[in-house]
Amino acid sequence: MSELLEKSRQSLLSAKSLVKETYYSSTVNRSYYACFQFILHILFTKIKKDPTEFYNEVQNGKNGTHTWASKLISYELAKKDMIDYKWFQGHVPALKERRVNADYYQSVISQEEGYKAISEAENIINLLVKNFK
Amino acid sequence: MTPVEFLKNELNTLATSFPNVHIKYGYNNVIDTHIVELLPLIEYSSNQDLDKAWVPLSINFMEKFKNEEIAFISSDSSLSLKHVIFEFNPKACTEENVLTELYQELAKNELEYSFPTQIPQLVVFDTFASLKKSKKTDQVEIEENECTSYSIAA
Repeated sequence: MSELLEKSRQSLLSAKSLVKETYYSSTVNRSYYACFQFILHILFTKIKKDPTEFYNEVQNGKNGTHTWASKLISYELAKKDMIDYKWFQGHVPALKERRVNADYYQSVISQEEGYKAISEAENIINLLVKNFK
Repeated sequence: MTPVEFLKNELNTLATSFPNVHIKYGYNNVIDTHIVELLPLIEYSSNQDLDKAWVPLSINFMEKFKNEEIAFISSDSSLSLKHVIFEFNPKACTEENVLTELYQELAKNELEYSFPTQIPQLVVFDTFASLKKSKKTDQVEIEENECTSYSIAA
């Protein structure tokens, strides 16, 4: 098992634990990272993107790690399944917005949003599992 | 050519090909992403020709502008498009307009019922008047002063 896959698994478990403890902002944060760590796992282990090359591209470009990883996955997904690409390109930014609001803005995060974030992360992970076996 | 100029041209072409699709463009500053909203939802979710037109456009945009992000959404998305910068075929989304027209009044009533802005008038139901009427049959004896005190308490 790759370290990133294990990190993703632990992040998702943390999110599920945090929501029960009523820590909803942290739930959203962990859900997003579960998703992002899984994206990196797919990129490095399934698509076989060289991690050194990836981080060099991030350093040389203006994109952040998250944006660049999402873009690379998007290209691959579009080649495999247009419908899944369509779903992915709309839901990843939605989860990202939820996470930025939870982490950096003075907005109260509800229990519903916490559960939604977990569900969104799980759905994104499942879609990636389906496409990159 | 800037990303916005590119999108304006491309979305204009898309709008010409799909005159029944309302296309809104805006920028989400929270996640630094260009947002294109396609309406109505039924077109976005079921029109495969529309998919075949915008999916390559989104890929082309990402390849052309490596540092920019874009998302194509519809009315079911939680992503917010707070400020529309430009739009095409604004009158195309007739289904949306008809639904708004039909349900506007209903929604207003629902809103007023759920979140009243005024304290509702107190309606005092004269229980004792009805009790007195049926006193003979129910064999209930109620003093006049009892009635008064109960009404105040209620």
